[in-house]
Amino acid sequence: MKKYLRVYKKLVELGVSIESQYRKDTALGFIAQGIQFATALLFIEAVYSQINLIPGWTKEELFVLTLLVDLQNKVFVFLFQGNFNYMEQLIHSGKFDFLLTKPISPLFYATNRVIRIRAATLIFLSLTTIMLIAYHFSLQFTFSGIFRAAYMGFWGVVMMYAISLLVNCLLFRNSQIGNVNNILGELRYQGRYPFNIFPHIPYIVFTTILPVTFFGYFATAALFGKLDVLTYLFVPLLSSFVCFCSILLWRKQVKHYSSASS
Amino acid sequence: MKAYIRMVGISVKQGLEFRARIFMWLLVHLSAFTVVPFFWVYVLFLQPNVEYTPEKIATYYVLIVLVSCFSASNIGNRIEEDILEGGIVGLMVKPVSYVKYRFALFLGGKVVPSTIVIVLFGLARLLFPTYILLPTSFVHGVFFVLFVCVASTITFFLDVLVSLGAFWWGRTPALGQSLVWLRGLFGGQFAPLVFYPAAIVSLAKVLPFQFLYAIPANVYLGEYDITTVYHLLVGGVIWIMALALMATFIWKKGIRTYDSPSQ
Repeated sequence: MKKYLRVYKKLVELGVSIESQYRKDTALGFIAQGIQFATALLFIEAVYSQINLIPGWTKEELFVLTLLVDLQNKVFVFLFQGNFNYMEQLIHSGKFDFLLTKPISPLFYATNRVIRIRAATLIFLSLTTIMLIAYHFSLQFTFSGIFRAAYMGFWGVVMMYAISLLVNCLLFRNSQIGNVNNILGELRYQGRYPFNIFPHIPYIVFTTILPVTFFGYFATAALFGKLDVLTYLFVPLLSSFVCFCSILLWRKQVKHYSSASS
Repeated sequence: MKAYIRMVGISVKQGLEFRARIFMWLLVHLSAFTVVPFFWVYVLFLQPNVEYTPEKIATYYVLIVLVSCFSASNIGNRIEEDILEGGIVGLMVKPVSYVKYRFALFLGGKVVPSTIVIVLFGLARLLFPTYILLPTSFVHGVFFVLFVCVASTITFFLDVLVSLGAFWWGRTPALGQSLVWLRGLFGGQFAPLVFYPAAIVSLAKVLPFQFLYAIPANVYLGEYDITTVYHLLVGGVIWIMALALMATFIWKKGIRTYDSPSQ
């Protein structure tokens, strides 16, 4: 464990060093973030121009939903996204061979070696915006609500990681599908709708087969106390199960991996 | 001209060779619409709207997906790579224009995905005839096809413009991401433009983004009379020319300041 912590610390330092080369993009990232928030908030305005009330959600709560989806996304981007984007190159250029020779878990190294420090600044920006929105609309968050949201947010990130790993395992089999991470990138933003207005079948689909509700919706619903007790049990169970399956699949693929040059 | 036609051919062959990759790109564009059409259909079921029925909004989104798959381009990433890794140096000594070369590859790259999308659209229409309306008239259908071509060309030039930023700023995913959000808002991808506040609608009218999704879809749905459609088409062509000129201007400026990474 100590060894892994030491390696992780080194990787963070390396991340800071790499990201310092992208200072201009970090500045542009703030502008992009501003545009993203503005478009998302205008979308909610558009929704409320068509409907007086979305059952169970006020306009202000929908603002928070949008921002929390983004926050959860940024956490994932900060910790893992760079690694999954790099996975195709890692597997198909032969660099994975080199990784297998290291005295460390290939899974740990392959999914933690790139830490996007840039995203940390955007996480801070997201949190600040949420606080400003809460202050502006006099929304009051309880301590238990914040704890519940953090708990569901954590499991949401676990689910994102698990699905990304599961899908990236396909790269061992097919060299043409490196763009698979773009699909996940799009899906991660699909949690920003109040799913409770959907009938039963689409709701179940978006919670199990295509679990976009994990990507911010559950965390926000938990923050406002809109979830039943069963969901608090179901979310970690399903996330853990998918994570377990993805790790099993990864191990199987690594076992059968026969080098890019073979 | 012959060289560019040959490049279109090469790009078509690439599409046939890398079928899995093409299929994945189609899924990328479809995944952006996983929830939003359902969301609007349920919102309009909860509170019916005179202008937009659930059937109409469903058709609107199917059309947006269709246009998105036709016009989507990954060309920005390629240009950025060429600039940053010195790929353009090799092309600069050849008797071809770099932007035209990329456009030829872009056009060729559309053939295979477009065929798949047309087949999928036909299937969807057969399976859900209530939720996928036919064009208001044959003329509107023909104009829809023309507007899809306009949307594709505008998308191409917007991507080129953003990727040319690599001459000065290096790799800039943030710029590309901003373009995605602006396209979504002002193009009518997130919601039909008429749903937005008046100020946004006015602003959208002076930007090129509405040609990407909202106008083609509204032409198909018969929201405009034929005279307006003509005017809009002229507007679209003017935007293409303006963006092409801007791209040429920025390209020339960038090339003057360019230092190949190998130098």
